[in-house]
Amino acid sequence: MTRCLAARWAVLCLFPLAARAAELDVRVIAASTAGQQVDASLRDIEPLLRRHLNFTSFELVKRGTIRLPSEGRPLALGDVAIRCLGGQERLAITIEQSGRVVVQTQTSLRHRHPLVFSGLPGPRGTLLIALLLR
Amino acid sequence: MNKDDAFRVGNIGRAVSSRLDQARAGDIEAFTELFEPLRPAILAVARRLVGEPDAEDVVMDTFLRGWKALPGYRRHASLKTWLIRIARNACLDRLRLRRGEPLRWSLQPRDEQDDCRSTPVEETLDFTDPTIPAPDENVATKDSAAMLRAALGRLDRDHRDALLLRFVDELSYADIAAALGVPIGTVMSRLFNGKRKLRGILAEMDPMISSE
Amino acid sequence: MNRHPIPWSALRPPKPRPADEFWAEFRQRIVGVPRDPPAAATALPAWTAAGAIAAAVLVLLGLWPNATRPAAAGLILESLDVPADHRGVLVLQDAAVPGVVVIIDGLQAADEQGEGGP
Repeated sequence: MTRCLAARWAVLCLFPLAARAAELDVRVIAASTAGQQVDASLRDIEPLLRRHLNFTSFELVKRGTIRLPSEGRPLALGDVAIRCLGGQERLAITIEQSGRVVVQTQTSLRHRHPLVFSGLPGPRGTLLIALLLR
Repeated sequence: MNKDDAFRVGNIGRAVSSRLDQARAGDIEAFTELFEPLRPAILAVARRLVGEPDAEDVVMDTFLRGWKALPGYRRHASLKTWLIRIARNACLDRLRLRRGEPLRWSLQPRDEQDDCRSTPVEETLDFTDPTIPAPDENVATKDSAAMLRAALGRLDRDHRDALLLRFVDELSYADIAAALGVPIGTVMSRLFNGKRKLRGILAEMDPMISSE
Repeated sequence: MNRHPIPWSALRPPKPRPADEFWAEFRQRIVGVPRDPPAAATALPAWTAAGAIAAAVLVLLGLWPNATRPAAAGLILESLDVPADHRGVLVLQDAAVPGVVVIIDGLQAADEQGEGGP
């Protein structure tokens, strides 16, 4: 009886951990060298953008979320679509633009470690795709 | 799931973990079962680093070192990457042996976190891979495989090794980094630049060929 | 114009020697080979139990912060491929700011690409 109660307690304790699904925050950003504006919604990744990219202005265009683990259902954000397969420890990511596959990558994601793809052509310059585990 | 996935950090299955514990405790059957799938990758690394006819000897040496070192394996790297690092050390020792230098490690694999950067492979390798013919190979037959071999023969060693380990031997970036003793970013750069150079060489030979 | 894929498979090296033969030799040669001592980090059952209880309490209280998840290592790109025509790729990562930036150079809009590419 005691053992049974202990087992139930252990399951109750660990259930929230198992059930907590990670989410992948996906942002499509228009980057340019015109102006100095950065959307407030990009503050968390601004240090990374500033460090590695020469753009001075970053504007959020679209935003979406993919629940992980994911089975590959595409998230459409304008003419960009992101497909994810797997969980955060081993996630296959495919980025398509206008129906053509631009990038395929396999990653092991970490919290607070954004993954940013730069160089996609956009209507007003360059598009960035920023992925961040939530 | 790729057959190598079972050996990746964070994805180690319960059955694999159990066999690993048994192998660490000295169970040869468990060791054999666990490591046999890794043999082609180790042979690939050995072929790229020391060439024939020593590659198979180096594979045996690698597995003997692996058997010896396994109790101390701390799962910081995947089992495959860990073994590839040991293979690289075995290759470097083999090359030292060829040059008449005393071995620094005889059945003494270095710590699994030691990435061997202190011994650049460029300083130790001076062989010709038998699968890569000389640059002046006759390509008059327009055989695309022969053309690819000839084009690879014109690439520098760094780019060629990275491309072969990736596209012929199908190693992951992490495993290539362990095999070549360089950071993953360097592997990526070599792959992308190598592909670009290869594409250029192939384009000279035949514009119908792409390197993708 | 369609471009042919490169026949990487034509360069596939010979298969390893037969498994039975290899492992038979292996068994002969490991006789007398001393093994390294086990890693010390696994021999702390008391601490493990204490840690498990502490973790369970944290979870029960809903106080499990993302920051305590195993994130010691940074983001890892295991593979990267850019199928669309491009000039080059730069992968940027350093210790100063966590994260990775992948710059794809020379990527053109889909409608600007020729059928066969440059």
